[in-house]
Amino acid sequence: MGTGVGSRWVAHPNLDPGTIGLCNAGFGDVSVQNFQAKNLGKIDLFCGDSASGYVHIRTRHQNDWQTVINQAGGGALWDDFMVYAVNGSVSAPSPGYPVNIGNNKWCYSTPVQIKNTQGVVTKTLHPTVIVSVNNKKVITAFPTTTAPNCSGD
Amino acid sequence: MREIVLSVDWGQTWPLSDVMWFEEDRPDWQTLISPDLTDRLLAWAKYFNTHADLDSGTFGGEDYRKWFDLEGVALLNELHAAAGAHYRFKLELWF
Repeated sequence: MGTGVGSRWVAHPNLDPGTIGLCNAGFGDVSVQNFQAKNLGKIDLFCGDSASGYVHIRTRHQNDWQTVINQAGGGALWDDFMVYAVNGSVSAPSPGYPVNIGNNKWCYSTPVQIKNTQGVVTKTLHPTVIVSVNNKKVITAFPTTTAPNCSGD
Repeated sequence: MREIVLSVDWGQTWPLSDVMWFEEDRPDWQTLISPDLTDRLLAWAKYFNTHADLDSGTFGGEDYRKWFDLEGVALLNELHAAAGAHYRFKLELWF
């Protein structure tokens, strides 16, 4: 799903710094990005708060996303890449996804390939993206590697 | 020594941050920790996803939260004892 040019990620559209500024100012209901999710239609990644959304992901997983990027050669912002991976996961999930994990939450994932400057795939992620079905919003996303880490068991 | 965070996010089934490590770096848990500790880690993560309520921001009762927090501390100690020579462990109770 992913593609790299040089050591930089191409992850359009890049997040609007003004929107992120609104998140920093505490506007939890502001949409950072919306997506067309399989079986759900339009969903949003809102600024949110410490428990869900962009602010939650930044607090809990910014370092995890950035570490993955750096191990693949670096050159991208963690949140641009995160949104890119979320978009791929919810819009074109792997067979069998989304998985209903209970409590009005679904888990999405899809392989996200990381390529070097020669276009060779060096790493593949299977990100875990959790969506609140009743609120139609992304509540968390973290860069799991071998397989998504969610289940309805 | 690399740090491993003991924490549960929404939907997470294995509550250790090595799920975000590439295969070649991941610990061999079968040789590091007992099956009982593995089961307790999985149960702790499942407990969070059963009882933590995103909409209300609560655990559904202070007894639920207390058990989760205390079991987290106990798991941290067990991980230290079992694999502290190889990894640094940190507990994060964020909800």
